[in-house]
Amino acid sequence: MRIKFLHCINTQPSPTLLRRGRVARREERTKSRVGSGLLGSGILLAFAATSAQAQERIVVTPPSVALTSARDARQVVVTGFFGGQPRDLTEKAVFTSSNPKIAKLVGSRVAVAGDGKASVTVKVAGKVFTVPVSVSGAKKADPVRFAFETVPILTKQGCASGSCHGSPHGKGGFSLSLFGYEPKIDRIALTRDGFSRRVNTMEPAESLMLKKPTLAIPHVGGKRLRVGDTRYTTLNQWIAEGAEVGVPSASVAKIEVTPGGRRVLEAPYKNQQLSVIAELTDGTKRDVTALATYESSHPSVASVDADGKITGKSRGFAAVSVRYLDKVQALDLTVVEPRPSFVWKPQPEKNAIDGLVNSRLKQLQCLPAATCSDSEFLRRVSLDLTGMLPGAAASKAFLADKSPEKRAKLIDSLLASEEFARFWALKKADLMRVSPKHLTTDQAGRFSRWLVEATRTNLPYDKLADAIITATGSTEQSPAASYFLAIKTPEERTELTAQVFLGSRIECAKCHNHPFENWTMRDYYKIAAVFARTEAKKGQVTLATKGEVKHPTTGENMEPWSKTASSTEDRRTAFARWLTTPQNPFFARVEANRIWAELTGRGIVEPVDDFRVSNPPSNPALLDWLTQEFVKSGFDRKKLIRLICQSQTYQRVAVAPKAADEALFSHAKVRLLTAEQLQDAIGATAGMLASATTLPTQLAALDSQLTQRAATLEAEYPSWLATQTRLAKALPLWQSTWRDSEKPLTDITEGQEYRFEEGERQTRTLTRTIHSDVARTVTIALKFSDQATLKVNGAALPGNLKRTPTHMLNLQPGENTIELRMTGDNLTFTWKLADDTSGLSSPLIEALRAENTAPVHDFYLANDAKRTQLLGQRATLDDRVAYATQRPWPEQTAFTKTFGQPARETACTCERRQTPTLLQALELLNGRTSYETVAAGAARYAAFSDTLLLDELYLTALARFPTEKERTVAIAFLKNAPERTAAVTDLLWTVVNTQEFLFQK
Amino acid sequence: MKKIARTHPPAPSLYEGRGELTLLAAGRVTKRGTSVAGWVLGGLLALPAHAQPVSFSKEIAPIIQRRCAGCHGERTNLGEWRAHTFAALLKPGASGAAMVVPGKPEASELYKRIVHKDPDLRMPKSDDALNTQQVAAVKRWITEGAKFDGGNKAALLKILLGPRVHPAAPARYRTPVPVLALAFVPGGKQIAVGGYNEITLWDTETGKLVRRIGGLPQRIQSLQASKDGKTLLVGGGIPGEYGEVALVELATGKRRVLDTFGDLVLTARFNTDETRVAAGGAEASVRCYEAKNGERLWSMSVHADWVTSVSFSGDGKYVASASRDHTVKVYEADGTLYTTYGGHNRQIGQYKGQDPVYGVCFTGNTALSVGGGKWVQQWEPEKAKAESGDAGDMEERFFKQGHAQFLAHNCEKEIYQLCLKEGQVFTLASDGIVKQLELASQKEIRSFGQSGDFAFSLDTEMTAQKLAVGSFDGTVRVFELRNGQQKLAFAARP
Repeated sequence: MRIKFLHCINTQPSPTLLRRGRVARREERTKSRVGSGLLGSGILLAFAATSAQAQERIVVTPPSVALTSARDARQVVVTGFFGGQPRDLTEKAVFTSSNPKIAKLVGSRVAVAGDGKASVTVKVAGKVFTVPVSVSGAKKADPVRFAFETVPILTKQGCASGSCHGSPHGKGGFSLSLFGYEPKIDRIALTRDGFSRRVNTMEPAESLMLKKPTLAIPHVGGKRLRVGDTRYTTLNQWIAEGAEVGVPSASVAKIEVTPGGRRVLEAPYKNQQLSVIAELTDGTKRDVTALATYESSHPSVASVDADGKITGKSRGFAAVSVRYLDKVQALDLTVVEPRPSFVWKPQPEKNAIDGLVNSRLKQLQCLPAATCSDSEFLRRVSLDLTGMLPGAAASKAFLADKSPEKRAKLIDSLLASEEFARFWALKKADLMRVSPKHLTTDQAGRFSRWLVEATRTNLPYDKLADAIITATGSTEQSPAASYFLAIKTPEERTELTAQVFLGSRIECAKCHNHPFENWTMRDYYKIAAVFARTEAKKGQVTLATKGEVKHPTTGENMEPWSKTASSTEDRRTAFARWLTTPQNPFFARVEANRIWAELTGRGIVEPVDDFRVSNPPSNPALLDWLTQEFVKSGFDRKKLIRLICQSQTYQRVAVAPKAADEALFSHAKVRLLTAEQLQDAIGATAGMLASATTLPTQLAALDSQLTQRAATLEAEYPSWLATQTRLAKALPLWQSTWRDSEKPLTDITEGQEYRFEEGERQTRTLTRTIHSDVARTVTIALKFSDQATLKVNGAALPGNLKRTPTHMLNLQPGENTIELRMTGDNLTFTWKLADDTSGLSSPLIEALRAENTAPVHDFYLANDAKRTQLLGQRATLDDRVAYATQRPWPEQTAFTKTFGQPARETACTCERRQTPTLLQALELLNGRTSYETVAAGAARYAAFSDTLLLDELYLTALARFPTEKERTVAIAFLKNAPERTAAVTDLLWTVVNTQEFLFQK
Repeated sequence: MKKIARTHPPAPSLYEGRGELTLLAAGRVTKRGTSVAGWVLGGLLALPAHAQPVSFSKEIAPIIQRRCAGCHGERTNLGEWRAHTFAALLKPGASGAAMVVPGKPEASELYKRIVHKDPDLRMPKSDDALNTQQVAAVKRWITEGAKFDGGNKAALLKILLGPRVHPAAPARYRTPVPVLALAFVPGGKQIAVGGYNEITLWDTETGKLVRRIGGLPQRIQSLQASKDGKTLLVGGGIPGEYGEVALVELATGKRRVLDTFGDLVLTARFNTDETRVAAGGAEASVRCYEAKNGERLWSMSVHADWVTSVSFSGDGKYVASASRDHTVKVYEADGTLYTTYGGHNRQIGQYKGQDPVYGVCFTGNTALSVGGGKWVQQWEPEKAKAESGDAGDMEERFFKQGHAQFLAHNCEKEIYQLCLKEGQVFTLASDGIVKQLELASQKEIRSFGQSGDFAFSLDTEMTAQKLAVGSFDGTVRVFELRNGQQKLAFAARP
């Protein structure tokens, strides 16, 4: 049977709940005094277990029922424990009321019939339990409350959904707020709009809002209500009572779902009845089981009906979300179906990961795959950790190594490599919009190098996050400040931060509370408030003392998400403190899951940046354990990577065994190489891209050439200096360097347009001196982008400087001061003194005349073409420009884009396309990049003997030797070919186009 | 049938002069102790085998209208099949199977699908099946040749059924009923107020109930008194299912139905000499009748949303209709569309806004229209026609204000009612505030009432110098035109 993957569930409490944890525990202690207790305080009856599968005890929840108004009701849930495992017995229990005139039963719900005391007897599995029921207020009016009943019913019946009347323009002229998030809109829409046509208080059943959903008259939205069911009756009563739309003083504080957490549904116990209690801010509690909305993430695995009864359908896992107004809770479900033919075989386990994966596989009756071969492991782990193929030499050595520890040793050596640091930094850079669209080249370069350095030194992940979130200053001092330069509005920063560090897509909450998520609009804007005072201007991140974010609906200034320690503390510091605390429900969990997904091709929660209650982890215990290990290690990413790579789970073959489940990690996943991996792999296979391990040697060779050149230059320096100094001192006319508030602007070149950093309207005052041996008049060519004045020795030049391109300057003998003042947006100017013919740059003349040796020496070195060329080569090597996987900021080429390289426009991992496309097939078959690379590399291979050629090619491309059959076929092909190089090209091209090459097994 | 106490209506059908079977009002339970569904169903059960052939319009149309047309109707055509008219339901859907093969129910998709064993194929989908009597009726109708006895095959099924007999008005109102329409009886001593299945007449000095005229539609959405005070032009119906335009004699309460619609009639107006009537409503069509015999002169369905207001020009040359679709349409006397006024739908400029229009009226050949937005717009059909052009000059037109005059009314909320008497413009905003603006001086003369809950209806009486406003909460407020003082407020609730 094929198991569908759900979107999965997250069982973690919401961040709001994290902070409420203590309160919740306190409440639990006092709960037994309140009639409606949780499971823990239910009726408990223990008896000796007769076998492992025997029922050990039964719990009836709640232990007692107190109904306090005419329409009050209480869902009863009966749970039996079998070998410690809870199973729902509600449906199997028989309920009877001692006095149906006081407490009546509607299935397993206790409802009000009249005032007094009664009891409900629950007979189950030969045991009898008694639940005392007290009823009061049965005769008092119990009007329907618009906010707590009418609105949730409209949501539950689907009326207020996004595709129906909850869409921005409504449907059929009737518009409700989406999922009832704005009752103000619903009040008017239901009772007054459309000339009050929707309710009929005289004859409630005649109301359009009841006749349409019951299909008494045509309704495009179909049947949504049945005449006579509880929700119909409630709406009818609401209308009969005058369709009151009063605004309540309280709101929902929380909902309590019984059972919570996780459940296994195993035949014959494939049902689970839920009970939902809402607690209002005024302390009142009400059973809202009939009003809450239920949704299953995978209805084919487990479905849920309108009354909160879950039914297991087929083997797999699912999450059921329970929503009441703006509160959401979820229950994780595993549905187990007995498969008679299934026999679990003991599996090798290398570490705790394997135990957890195997127990899940055993539970869902799925056998894991065997261990992969050495060459499969080598290629897989090299690609995963460094992004690159291992290379022929390393492959040969690894295959020949007989040590039982060789896999562990390989993992350690790869983790210690520079390639690892660079490739894993690229993954982070992908998410943080390190791209020329958002940053300057320098900013992107600095941020990239910083990310590499953080990975190389294995900066603990909490420290890394903290450094990014609180980055302040210029990108020179604080390269991570680019995080805020790339994204400038508090809202975008909220979405980026939530997706990267909290694994949550919260953009929906920008406009409305999400139907099945815990993130509310308030949460969204509270996080936005964290970034309200972080300004990004002129390449700097600065902190403002003011700045607020308003809630768009209520207009109030939002308090930042985390309380600051003092009024002056950076809000981001407080946020980072909350974020990186070990108890944060998301931070460590999201990163552990991301690392798992990078290595296995699938997150335990998938997509990795979509943690929500309705998206359950496929193996909750595994994710819990990984998170716990990650936190315990001090957020050590390398340690977690090592642990995963060392596991048997990671080292399984990529052949899917029968009925295996993709989401349960029974086998390795076959993955198409990423764009960068593929580009480098083709380059390496063709021999056009040297193994990165040769880089240190290449760098050393260049360094020695540089040292030699430096020695030559030093020897020639004294004579050069003497000549230049003589020339400079003899100059009849020369200009000093331009200065901007005393800071020299050495990057201004005479006659070329100078651009100030872009920005809003600014004023710049530049000064310089001009030295002349005699009084003279010189001509300058001047060009401005905007308004300007020019003063020579304090006297302003007459006329409009912008209008004429040339101006005359009257110079005195000696030093003349020049002041150039410009105002405007995006300033530029050009200056050229016609008579300055020295040929030397101003800074150099200035330094030579002042006999300021250091800058003169620098200039001398910088002007040497040979040295510059060598330095350029070195930088190219050092920055690994040729390697796509080795640059956190790789080039975006047509080839890499075709293979799914993300444009870095979003923080979503989904931006890296992983599905094969037709364009990719065409690129591989006919594309210039792959063909030219292959053709260029063929000459090298052609020189080898056939045997050597094939060994080298297969070891490089596939990390293995060719099989005998491959060898025979290939050698025959080469022998019969009329032209060897062309034949070798074809052979290379063929290997590069094999599935084994293109995919990582 | 005798099991069911029947206090009303006396006729065994909701429809005048028609057969006995309809389920249109099934499920309607009134406070008056009668289940309409009960007696309809009772009738069904009590009936012996059909002696007469099955009537499509009386027996089959109500079933199809009630159980099929929701998904296969004017707005949606699931499976590419529509069943809102007889002509439409004969056309095959996406499967191409013949819907009705006369004489052969087993070969007719219409029959096969209502009795299908597979719940995914059985219609109505995801809903209760048709009961055995209904299935039998459909089968027999097809067996008998699937004949059509309704007149116009292209007419909406719900209109085939003709005018309804309305239940008697309740003796007492258990809750307030929103006052959706009111009209002074000429002279101003009495005011007619739209009630529940009735019109109530009240003394404008004392606020006392004078008379009740029953047997009218559930909701009264539009009222206009003839100049002689003898007749009321009444528009109303039942939301989502029925509309009616009728003339009611004040003296006798006698109703003469001019026409029925598939949804509420929201507006009905006489022309100047009261020889013609125009009406429109939630069905989005505008229709024009000869007042004396009810002959329908023309019907136009050119609006995309509810028609909220209609008006004849003084010389009878034009009829204008305002709509929630942000336009006013102007027709010539014979119903030809003359022009569309788009002043309430401007994308740019000083007077921009995309607003529903709720009121239109004429003074001479100048039209006034109002709805959302901040202004009463004054314009002329001829100039509006000259200014409306094709897409080519659209951009240019955007920047032109055009000839229209914009008279600011200074109301916070949208304007629901517009009334023009003796050069004075009266507007009612949804919050209950009435403004009196003088057309000649373009000045605000007076404001009536205070901002409160929703108000829907407005009328003025110039000889008695009175103005009345009807509200959501069921109150009618009467003001002195002279000074704006509120003279009387009463709950129009028998």
